[in-house]
Formats: sequence, structure tokens, C-alpha cells
Amino acid sequence: MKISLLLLFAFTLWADSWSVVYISKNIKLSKNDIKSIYFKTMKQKDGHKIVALNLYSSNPARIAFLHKVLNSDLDAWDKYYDELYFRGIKSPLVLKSEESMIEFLYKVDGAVGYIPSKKVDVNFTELMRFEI
Amino acid sequence: MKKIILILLFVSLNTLLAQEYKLGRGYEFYNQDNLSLNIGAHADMNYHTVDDEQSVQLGQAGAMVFGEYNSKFRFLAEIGSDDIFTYSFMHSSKSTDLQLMRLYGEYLYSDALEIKIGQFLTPIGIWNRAYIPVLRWSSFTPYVAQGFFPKIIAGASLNGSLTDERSVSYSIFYHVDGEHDTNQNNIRAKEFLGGEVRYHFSPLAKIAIPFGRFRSDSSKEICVFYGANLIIPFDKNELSSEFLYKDGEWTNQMGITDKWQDTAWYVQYVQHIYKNSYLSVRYGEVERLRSNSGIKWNDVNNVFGYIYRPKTAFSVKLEYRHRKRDGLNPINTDESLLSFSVLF
Repeated sequence: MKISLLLLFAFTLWADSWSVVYISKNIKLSKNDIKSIYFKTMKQKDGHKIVALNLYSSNPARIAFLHKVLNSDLDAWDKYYDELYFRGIKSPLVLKSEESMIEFLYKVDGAVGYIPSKKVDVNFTELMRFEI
Repeated sequence: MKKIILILLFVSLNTLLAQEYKLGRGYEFYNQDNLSLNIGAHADMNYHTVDDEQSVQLGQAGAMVFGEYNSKFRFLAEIGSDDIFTYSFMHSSKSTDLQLMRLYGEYLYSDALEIKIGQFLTPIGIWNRAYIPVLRWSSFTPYVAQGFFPKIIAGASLNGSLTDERSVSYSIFYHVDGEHDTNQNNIRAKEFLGGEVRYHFSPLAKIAIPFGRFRSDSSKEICVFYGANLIIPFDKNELSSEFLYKDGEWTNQMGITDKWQDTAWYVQYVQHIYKNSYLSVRYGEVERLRSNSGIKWNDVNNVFGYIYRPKTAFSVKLEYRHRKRDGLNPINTDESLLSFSVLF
């Protein structure tokens, strides 16, 4: 029992916490908007453009984000965007690294992405957290 | 100066983006000044047997160019064919010229209102909105998506998502007339007005009610149809169904009017079995009744399939279909189909 609790405690310390964030002076998003933004049923808010950002499909944070935040998986995601691509709609932008994600978030008003929680500063609005 | 800063900003943003090609996502060949241009393609090749007759077919294939400007304007152009080349072992082979399948522009006023003008797929149902084999679990198209309404329209549509959660969406469209139809269209229609209202349980699961009215260009029929469809994916499995009812009025050259009713539906279930392998089963039925003449026929379709899909944009399907029609022009056929389909 003690060993299990110790392992659980160790795992909690080890697990990385990530945050879904955005920077914008023009729009106010909520946790409930995340799914609509990433599945592109919400492309604007209050008349302002929203840009969804992703990391590579092999990135552990991307996989955890898909499962824990979007309640989906890579197969369902790809199938959904195959259909949209056939209609001329592109999937969210894919960035090379979390550093690129942070840089993009700073530069583009209305961009939404996920970054390590320890890198969230006062400029970001945090929508929710998830563990990987 | 402002323009130079903007250009530099976009160049620097572009370097952050991963520009690698991924199967099923096309290739972006231009992305500057808020304009992105992409190319893509799809193809399907199959070996088909109907009773003792065999054929090899390069079936539905197309190449498309699409783009977006300033997140407000989108366009898409596609050339292709539903049946590019068929080599039959018993009869003569045939080929079809490439056609302009789709050509449209869209203005995104808001999430609740998107205006589309041009030639595009009729935004009704599950099958018709993404009818190419690679996007479907079966290469046998059900009658609901084949003979009920024109699958391509030339006109305008309004589309959008409503409510804060985007749980309700709609499409309303008007098709101008039959003269704008390509040879690819299944029905040449005039004055086609219709739409669909959808409720989304999640981004992937929905239930919808389609409806429409059109005048058939060839037989002067007036057709009214409505129905329902649903798609529910769960784990790696999927349940889908479409139902349509259509009634029409037809006047022959003698001036005699006859009425008819068509009903068609299918239920399809796909079960994930192991890694990239799936099994599919579909039951479908079509019934036609002519009121005055009393002519009636009933067509039953059963499809069983094995699907190997290592990627969502590439699949190999081995399928069997049994079709039996009672009444006028009875049919009793066994078909098998081995198909390879890909989205580039």
C-alpha cells in the first residue's frame, strides 16, 4: 500500500503539466470553446479570427491533448480532417516545437495552443491544464 | 515600411511551420500575404466481378486545387471522373473524359453564415458530402446517395454553425437549372431547393434531417424528398444510417399523370478487429411504388467487407454484395470487389 502511494506520488511529480493558452486583446475564449476551435466549427469569435495550433502527431503532448482535452484519438482526428481536406479545409497548423508554439502565440493575436504550464506567463490566458 | 514588416512577419512565421507533406493533406505550394494555395488528389482502383463478369476499373479519381485568402475567402476546383477507365474481360472497354467536378468560392461572413457559389457536392447526407471511396468504409455506394437527388448542384448555398457550442449546423441551397450539370451528375434537375439541419452530439457524431424539392429535367417529374441520417463513431467502431422518402408526379406524352413513392435506407456497422483491420456489414433497401399503375419493386442490398486501413488516407477493401430485386425487372446478383483507394 505504502509502495503504491509512493509510486503514485512519484508519478505525480514526474508527470508534465501542460496548459491550453492564448494571447488576445480582442477575444475572450472559454474552456468550452477548445473542442469547437480544434475541430474548426468555431473559426471566429466576436468577429476576430482564431488560429488553432498543434505539435507533431508523434509529440507526447499532442497525443495527451487529443485524448484528454479533445476526447479523441489520432485515427478519428485524421479521418475527420481527411473529409474536411476533401472540402478544401485544412487541419490546424503544425509547429515544430513548443518554442515555435510559444513564439507563434506571441506573434499572432487569436492563436490558441498548448505549452508546458511552467512556461505560462502573465501575457497568456490559460484555458485549462492537462497532464502527459 | 509597414508592408515590409508584414512580409518579414509572415516569412518568419512560415519558417516556424512544419512544411512536410503528409498523405491525405495535400501540398501547400504557396503561403504568403494571407493567401494559401494547395494541391491534392484522390484515386480509386478496383477489380469487380458481377456473377461471371469481371472488370478492372480506374474508378473515381480527381485532382484539386484549393486555397484560402485572409481566412474569409475559400475556393476549390476539381477535375476528375467517376469512372475514368474500365477494362471488361467480356465486353468492350470504355473510358470517360475528365470533367470539371467542382468549382466554387466561399465567403465566410461568420461561423453562422458561410456563402458558397459555384458547382459543388449537394450538402446532404453522410455519403454524398464525402463520397469518394477512400473516405468511406465501403466502395459500394448505397442507393440513398445514388438515385434520390442530384449529387452535384450548380448554384448557391448558405451554411453555418449555430449556438455557442456549435452543436447545431445547417445548409440551405438552390440549384439553378439542368443546363449547368456536368455529365457526372446522376439526375439533371431544375429548380432544386433543399437543405439539411444537423444536431452534433460531438464534432464526429451527428443526427440530421435533409429535405428538398426539384423538377427532373428529362421526364418533367416534380420530386419532393425528406429523411434522416446519423453517424455515431465510438472507440474505433462506427454506426451510420441514412433514410430518405421521395414522392413524385410524372406526366407522360399522352398527358396522363402517375404518382410514385420511393423509400430507401441503409444501416451500416463497422467493427475494428485488430490493428489496421476492420469488418463492415451493411443492410440496405429500396422500394418503389407507382400509384396508378400499381407497379411495385423492392430491392435489397447486403454488403459484407473487410477493410485494411494502415492510414486513414489509404485503404484496401475486399467486399461482397448480394442484391435481390422483386417485382418489375427482377435482379438476383452476387458481386465482389477488391478496391485500393488513396487520398494524396
